[in-house]
Amino acid sequence: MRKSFFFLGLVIILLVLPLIIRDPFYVDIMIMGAFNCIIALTWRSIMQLGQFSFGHAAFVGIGGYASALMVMKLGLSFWVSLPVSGVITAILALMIGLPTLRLKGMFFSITTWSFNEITRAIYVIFKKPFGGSTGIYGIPAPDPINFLGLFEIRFATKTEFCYLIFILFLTTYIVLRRIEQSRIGMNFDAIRVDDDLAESVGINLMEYKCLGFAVACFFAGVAGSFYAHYISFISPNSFEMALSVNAIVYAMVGGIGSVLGPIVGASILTVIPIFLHSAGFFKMIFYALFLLLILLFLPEGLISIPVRVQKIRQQFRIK
Amino acid sequence: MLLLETKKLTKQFGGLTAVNSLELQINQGEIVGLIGPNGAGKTTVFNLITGFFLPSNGTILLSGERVEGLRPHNIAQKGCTRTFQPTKLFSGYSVIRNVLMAQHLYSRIHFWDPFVPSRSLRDRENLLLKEVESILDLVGISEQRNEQAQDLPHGHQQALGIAIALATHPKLLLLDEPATGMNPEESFIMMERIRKIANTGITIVIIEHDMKVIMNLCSRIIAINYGKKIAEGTPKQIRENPEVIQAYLGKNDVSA
Repeated sequence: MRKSFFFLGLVIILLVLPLIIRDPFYVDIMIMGAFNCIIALTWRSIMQLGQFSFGHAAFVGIGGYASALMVMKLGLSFWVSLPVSGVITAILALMIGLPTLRLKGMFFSITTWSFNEITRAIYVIFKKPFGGSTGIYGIPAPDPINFLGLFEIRFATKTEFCYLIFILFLTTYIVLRRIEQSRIGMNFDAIRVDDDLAESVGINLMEYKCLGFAVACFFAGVAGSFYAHYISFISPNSFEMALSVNAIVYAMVGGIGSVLGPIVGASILTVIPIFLHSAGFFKMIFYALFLLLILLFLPEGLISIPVRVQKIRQQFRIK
Repeated sequence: MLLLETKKLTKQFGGLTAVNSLELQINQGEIVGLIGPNGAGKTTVFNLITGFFLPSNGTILLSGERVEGLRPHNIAQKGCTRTFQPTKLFSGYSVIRNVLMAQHLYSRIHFWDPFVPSRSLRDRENLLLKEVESILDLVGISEQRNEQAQDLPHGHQQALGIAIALATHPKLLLLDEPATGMNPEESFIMMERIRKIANTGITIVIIEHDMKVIMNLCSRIIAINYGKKIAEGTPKQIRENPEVIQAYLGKNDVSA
């Protein structure tokens, strides 16, 4: 009950926010915030399989490049290329996942990181479709949507983009949360906690790891597709390791114990740098200090604050 | 009826032969003990049967079907589950949740389940939950159902380990030292528990160092040393077997 209230609140906030905030600067922040939420959410759902991915940017990049090329070279509509680029990303993720998801701990991190660098090298080397190190620019905005000739949504201002990414974010959130709360999510938990035991009770490790990985990468690819058409310019540098690290930091700061964690983390860490803007040179120092303090004193992330407060209260009551 | 049979089962780790041409026959409904000194290769035998290790040589037949080379999850599907030593649990989750997580084989998951909530799905979940209750009753930890697995006392953790294995509806249950580190009272409870499980028709193979448990429970005992079978027979026969005594106590030096 409380959860559905929360969800309703989230939907209302997401609906109303773009109506109130019209300043393009702040709309841009909301868009990037929602984009970061998707990145952090999908990274966390790979983490739920017990796999620490260090190359999440690769999948965002594949989605972005696939979508840009499909629209610009094949002349497909954005509304086709958006889901298809997600599917392409998921297929490539399966191809990389089949050999590497058997690896545990750091070894998986290293291979995914290498995969990220390999994709970037491919974009640079093969100038023909990928545009080399200068990347692809002039990626068109999504085609207008016509509702039975009644009214038309044209992607002329950032507000339309804002609604689009909010819808993508909500879809990602609902799908990942429903999976997590189902028997499938239960199997993910089992695999993460003890893969030997999970295997001994009949859970096919590779089947479930591949499933979880492909679903997460599908949404990462969709987010990448949105990114390409929103910024209208992508290059190998758009999808470097910093993006993967950001995804990890957002999820870790928010807390990976719940689906809410990455959302809280990504939203706050997207907004904080703006307030720090006046600090100028010291911006990064404050940002780093903030991260350090959270990792030191709230290792389970920002979402663990209510539980902590309750615990402290209980202790006082007992005394 | 023969449930499990191994023929010339061999496992080599580099130059070391952990299991050497082992021939096992386990009949339906038996409780068989597998004993041997430390490092005799008992747990390796379990790892080979359940597919965690690939045998270097030999065959494993489960209900007449060759299973060597299959992955552990396939073998669980064919009706053979094991417990681990030290006990493995899904720590961080409640006792009930632990058993629920182990029900995978009987939960009949479809990938669309998360998105199509249906009445039959809810009924199925209720049925599975009832089954968890009955398993917890069987192993005697239904009072601890809401406790966190890692907070349970040692004896109850062992019981939960068995409950997890039972959730897969095994025909053959391999218990790896179920009574280890228990006081006499606890190991008595464990014996009762194993007897109750055997009464439900499940065939059990036990590795155990506590001879009291083995001698009381097992109808047949197989003793191995250096990966080779050195004796097989009733508890009485094993107790009097000179080779077993020698393996456990060393050579009887008469001149001393």
